[in-house]
Amino acid sequence: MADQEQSPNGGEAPQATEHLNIKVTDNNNEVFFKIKRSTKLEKLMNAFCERQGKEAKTVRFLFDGTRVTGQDTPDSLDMNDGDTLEVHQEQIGGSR
Amino acid sequence: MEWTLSKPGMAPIGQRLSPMLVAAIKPIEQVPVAHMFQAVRNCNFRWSRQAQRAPPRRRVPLPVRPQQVQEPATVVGEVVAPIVERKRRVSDQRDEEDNSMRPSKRRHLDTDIDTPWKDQAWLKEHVKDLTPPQKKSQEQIIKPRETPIVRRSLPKILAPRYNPYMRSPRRTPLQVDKSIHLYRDDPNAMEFWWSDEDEDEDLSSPPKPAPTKEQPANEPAQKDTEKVENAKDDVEKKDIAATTPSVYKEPTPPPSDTGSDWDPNEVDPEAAREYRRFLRAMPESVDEQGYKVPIEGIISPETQAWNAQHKKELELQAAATAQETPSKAPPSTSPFTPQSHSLQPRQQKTEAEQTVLSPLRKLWDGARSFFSPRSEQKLPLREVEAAIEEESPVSTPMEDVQEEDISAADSDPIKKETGSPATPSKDSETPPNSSNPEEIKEEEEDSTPQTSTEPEEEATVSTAQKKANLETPAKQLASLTLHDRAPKTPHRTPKATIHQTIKTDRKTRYQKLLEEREARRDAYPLIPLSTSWDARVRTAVQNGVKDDEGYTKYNDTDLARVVPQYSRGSLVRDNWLNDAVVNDYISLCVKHGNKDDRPTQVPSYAAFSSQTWQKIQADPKSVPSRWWKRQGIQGKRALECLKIFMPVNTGNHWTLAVMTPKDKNITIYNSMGHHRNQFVGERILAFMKTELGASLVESEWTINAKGVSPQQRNSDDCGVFSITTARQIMLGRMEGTPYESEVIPVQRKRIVAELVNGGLLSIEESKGDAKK
Repeated sequence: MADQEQSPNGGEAPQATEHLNIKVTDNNNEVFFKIKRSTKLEKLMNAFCERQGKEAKTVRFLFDGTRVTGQDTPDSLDMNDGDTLEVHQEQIGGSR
Repeated sequence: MEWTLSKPGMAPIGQRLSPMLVAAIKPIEQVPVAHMFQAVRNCNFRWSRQAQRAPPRRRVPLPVRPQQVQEPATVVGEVVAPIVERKRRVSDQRDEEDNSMRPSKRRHLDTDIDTPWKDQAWLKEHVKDLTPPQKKSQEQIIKPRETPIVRRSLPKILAPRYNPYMRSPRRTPLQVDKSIHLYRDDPNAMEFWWSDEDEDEDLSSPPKPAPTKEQPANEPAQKDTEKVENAKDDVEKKDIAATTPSVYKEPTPPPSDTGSDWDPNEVDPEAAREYRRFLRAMPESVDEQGYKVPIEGIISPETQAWNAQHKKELELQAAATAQETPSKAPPSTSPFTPQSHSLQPRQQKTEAEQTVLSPLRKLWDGARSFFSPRSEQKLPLREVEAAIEEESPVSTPMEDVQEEDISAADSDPIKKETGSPATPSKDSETPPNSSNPEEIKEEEEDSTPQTSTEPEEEATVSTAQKKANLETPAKQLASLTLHDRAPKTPHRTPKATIHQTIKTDRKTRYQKLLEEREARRDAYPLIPLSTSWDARVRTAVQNGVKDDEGYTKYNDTDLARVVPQYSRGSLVRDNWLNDAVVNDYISLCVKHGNKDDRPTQVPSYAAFSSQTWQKIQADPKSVPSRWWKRQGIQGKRALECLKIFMPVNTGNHWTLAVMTPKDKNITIYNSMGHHRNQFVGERILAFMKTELGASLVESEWTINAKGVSPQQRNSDDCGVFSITTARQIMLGRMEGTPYESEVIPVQRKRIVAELVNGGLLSIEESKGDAKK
């Protein structure tokens, strides 16, 4: 998981098209990930939660307004290089 | 001003004294300085009471309006009255509308008029008549003149105006189409009518009738008029045959080649030119008799003169023809002479003569009217041909008829020459298809304003009957004259007519969809689940839901919020729904509603996630267009959507916003009052506006902040209410009471069951066995 982060391995030339730079942001932090197109996003989500110290159950990853589940991949979501995943907190409501 | 210096425990000193006086009188130690300053500050330094009082303003009486007070009380008022009235009259006329709208205008008028009357010299200078105006009597009021305004001269052509701003002056001269019939009915074309560009004619003078040819020059005019009178009397009194006007000379010299047949192709150029000139010179329409009919009821003196002269001519002709009868005149004097056959007296004819003579009569008549300038029929050839076609099977062929005619002319010249073809026979019998007697009447009325002589009326009747006799449309068309208006044809001819109606049971796709939805409406009621489903719900709540590949779909914490009583005791018993359940359940409903959509279609239903509202709440424009595109409703496609759902979490309360682009409506369903609903609606409208842009007019959209939703009775169920409302809306079950509040505990279990199932549970499914 951690090896998919931006920092460690930057340039593997033949695989360049295969990799995407994806920005994951909640309103405070921005974290860039470089992942393969076929990588399940669960890895990314877990990495982000670990890094930010959040519990995965209480966090929602949204891509274009729809929730990203763990088994989604950039391919399945038609993600492009530089796309953004938004991180939202869990919303709870019962009364005013 | 009135004031007292007083201090607690001290008697008031000077009453109604000026403060300076008080200050002077009062020993300083007794009056505190502060009091003094206070007194000085309060008073406004008037040395005497007299000076303090403002002089009474003389209330100058404003000039009263004369219509309000009959007798002005003062001299000023008396004098002023006419001025005031005059001013008022003018200003009222001018500013009547303004005054009604702006009351300040009235005051302005009052101040405007209050200066001059103070100055008597000004009064004497400017006002001549100091007596108040008196009402005009009824006789003095000018009545509108009854006589029509006589137009002196017809309008001349307006020269093409030179436009200094044009780059070059008009190169081509104003195109004047000289084909007369184009302008015949166009009143605007009058100015072209009198164009000076006509080649050889001098049209500046009023049009005069061409001198008739058969009127010999050697005869004096006086004799002519006498003749006319006498002849007219004779015509009226006696039968023509009986009269022997041997006194009168034969007026018309017989043409040289009268014996030959009339050649239809032969056209006298002079007569034709005369005819053309005549038509060009006559903007007015022409009667059957050749009288000018006034345009728009305005009779110009030229026209009157022309008509009078024409009347004379007609009478002359009548006299001439009456005189001609005893002498054996050859059949045609000149084919172009404007002879009016209708002036001839009635004659009795036998039927045989009529049958023999009628085709020839028509032929002759048509020929004569074709070339006669002032007769109405301009297309007689066709009529003649039609008449010949009509009668040829009955009677003898044309040549025979002509031979017979010649012989008949020798034998009976009266009937041949003078007898009008139409009148003797058709006056007695009723016209065969006189479907339009009103037209005849109209024509008669048209002719009456000119001169209502008896022969004229006869003529009109006969021509009208002629027209009525033409049965087939082709003949009617042939009978049309140059001055007739074009027959009205329907504006558009129908290209296709319904000749067959096939009843089909075909329905549009939308109808089918509606029917299916109607049938499906009651298939998904909120009924309690079977025990197997209940057990499955329990396991789902306790263990969470994982999809086939083992990835977590719902955590146990998510579902434990829905059915807290099934959760394990270790978990927090919280029955507030979170966004995972809400979003997923609404997208479940949307998926259910879009089951029948075509893949290329705009989805019938769409749902935004609850996080959308979070962004909208901060900034309606912060939601990128990709969010719409992900739903398949980007841009204008959103307007084709039936419903767009958006769960709204305002703090810790769930509500549901439903956008209905078809009705241009945004409804907020709140299970607990209507707090903040309007705000939510406005924000969502702004959110839609950023996406739709110009295709959304905000004023057209309505925000219904009070969507009819069942109200929750606790402080926990709002999420359940919101998503249940979405479900019922999608099922089309929002009329009346969409669901009862009592059904909520059941619905909580159903939510879990349907989430696990991946689709809504129908009656059978919810009663039946749960899979797995």
